[in-house]
Amino acid sequence: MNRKTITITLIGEGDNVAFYTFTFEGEEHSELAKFKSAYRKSEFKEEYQDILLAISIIGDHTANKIHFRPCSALKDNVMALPGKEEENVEIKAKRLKEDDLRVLRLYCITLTDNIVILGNGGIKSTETYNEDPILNEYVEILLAIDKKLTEKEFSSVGKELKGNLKFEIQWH
Amino acid sequence: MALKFFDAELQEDFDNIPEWRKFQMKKRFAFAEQLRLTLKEKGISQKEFSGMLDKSESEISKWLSGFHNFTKDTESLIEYCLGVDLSVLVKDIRPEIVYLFALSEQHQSNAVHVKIDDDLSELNITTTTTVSANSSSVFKHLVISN
Repeated sequence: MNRKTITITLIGEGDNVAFYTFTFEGEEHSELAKFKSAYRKSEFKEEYQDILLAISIIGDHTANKIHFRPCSALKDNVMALPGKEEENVEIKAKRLKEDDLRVLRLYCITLTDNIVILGNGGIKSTETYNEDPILNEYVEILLAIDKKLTEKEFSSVGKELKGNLKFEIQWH
Repeated sequence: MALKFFDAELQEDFDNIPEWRKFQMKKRFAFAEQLRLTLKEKGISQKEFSGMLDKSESEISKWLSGFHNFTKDTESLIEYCLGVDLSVLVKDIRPEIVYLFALSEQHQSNAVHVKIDDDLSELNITTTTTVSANSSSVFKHLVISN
């Protein structure tokens, strides 16, 4: 069992949705900052930009779950933001032929229609995230935060998340 | 887009995304919004819709997310099945085309950027020539011949 203290901070705000992220105690960078550093200048730069665009559009509209990819069949709030959604048949066929299933995912919690907590993410090259130990841990961490946040220790008014935003989480 | 990131690098990354890609994403989102609205108006559930098109429900969920890159054929198929023109609403999403005016090469410093909604007649433009599209933004170069 892992046990760490996190601090949630506001990282971005649109007309209708506020985006938060979190930092582990003793670490300099937030989970979103780690994701940014890993992909902003990588071969997945375009997908990283698509995720920023999705955040921007959601920020001005709503964080309704319809705009996100569910991570599991469980009734939790942990979702994923996808990078490029390609429907071009030729590109799809080429990628399948090359056995290239890689897509960029950013994992997050859609707490309400006005509040999203952005975590870390990475390249998903397996059918499901839990086949990849790194991505699985990112999701497990978010599930632990989601559980804490839905234990009624916190409240929200519009885009504002209220309560003690520094707390301990446990995950497998 | 009014979103502001409280992280300088994230904001810089967002600001550096070419305008045409922001426009593409807005169009995708508007198309999905219109599709959702049409399904609601017609009382068609996601499951029924997936059956109509012989697609999986998860595929339809992707379509409705607002970030799916539809092909023209898929758009046409959807419109055919629903008997509507979904592009009507989407047409309201217009690119923020920027016109670049240059009096001459010697007067490049006098170049002004004007948004598409600005009244060009007030600027006394007589001749227009579309030259090229820039990689970071959609530009139309309007050259004034004196």
